[in-house]
Amino acid sequence: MLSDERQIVNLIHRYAELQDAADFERVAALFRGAAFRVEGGPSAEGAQAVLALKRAHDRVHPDGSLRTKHVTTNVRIELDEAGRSARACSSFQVFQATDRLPLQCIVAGRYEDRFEKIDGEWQFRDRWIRPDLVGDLSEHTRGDPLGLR
Amino acid sequence: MLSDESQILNLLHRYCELQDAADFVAVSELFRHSGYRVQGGASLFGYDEVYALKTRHDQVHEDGTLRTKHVTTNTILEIDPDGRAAATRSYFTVYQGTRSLPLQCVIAGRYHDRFEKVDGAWRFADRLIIGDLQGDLSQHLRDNPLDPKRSD
Repeated sequence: MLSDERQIVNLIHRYAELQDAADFERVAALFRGAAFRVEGGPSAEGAQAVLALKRAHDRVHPDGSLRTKHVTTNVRIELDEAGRSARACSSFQVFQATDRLPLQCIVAGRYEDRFEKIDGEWQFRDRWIRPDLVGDLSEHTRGDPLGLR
Repeated sequence: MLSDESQILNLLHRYCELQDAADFVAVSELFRHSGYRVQGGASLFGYDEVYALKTRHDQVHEDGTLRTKHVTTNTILEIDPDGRAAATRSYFTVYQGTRSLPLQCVIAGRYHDRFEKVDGAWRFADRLIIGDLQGDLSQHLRDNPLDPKRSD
C-alpha cells in the first residue's frame, strides 16, 4: 500500500503525464468536483469546463501530443491531522520542442493544490496555476489565455 | 532501513549520478539482470550489451565526464501488492555545458522502468527510454541512438 504522500505525488505527476500526451479527457477527469484556476487567466470548475478550457487553449501538434514536458519539482505536502485532506505546493517548468521551436523552457511557475481523500482515493479539489516566468508560448497556447498581448 | 520507495528512487538517481560521471562500468552493472531499450531503437539486455552501447554512443569530454546532468523528475511509482516488483514512470531533462556548447537542455523524455526485489535488494528489471524532445545532442551522443529517424 502506497503512503498518502506517495499517492498524492503520483497524482501530481499523473496530471503532467496526461497533459503532455494531450489526453484532455483524462486530464479533465482528474478535476471532476475540482477547480482549475490560472492566475491572470481562465478558471474552470469540474471536468466538462476543464475539458473545454484545454481544447480551446492547448495546441496539439502533428504527433498528437503537446510536444511538451511539464517537469514538476520541489513538491511540498501538508496533510491534515484527520488524513482526509492535503495541500501541496510545487514548481513546474514546461519544456517544448517543435518543428519551429528549438528545445527550450517556455514557462516556469508554481502549482498550489488542494486534495481530498474520497472513498480511499486521493482526488484534486483545487489547482491554482501561477505562471511566474513566461517565455515563448507561441507553440503551446492558443487565444492568449494569459492576456499577454 | 529505507522504505521500498526510497530504495527505488535512490536507484533511479544512482543511474544519473553514474551516467553523468561517465562511469560506464557501474552504469552497466545496474542492468546486469535488466532490459535496456530505446523506443524505436535498440533492445538490449545485461551488462555487456549496455556497456557496448554506452562506450559507442556517449561522448566523454576532457574532464572524463559527459558534462551533463540527467535531471530525473515526475516519478510515478507503483509497487506490487506482494512487495517484490515495482514500476515507475519518470521524466528526464538532460542539461549540458561544454567548451563549445553553452549550458542548455539538450534532450527531454521519459524513462519507463520496472524493478524487482531479489534477496532484499531492489534492482532494475527493465528500462525503456523515450527521447521525446531532442535539442542539440552534438556534444552528448555519437550516431544518436535515440534518433527516431535512425534506420537500424
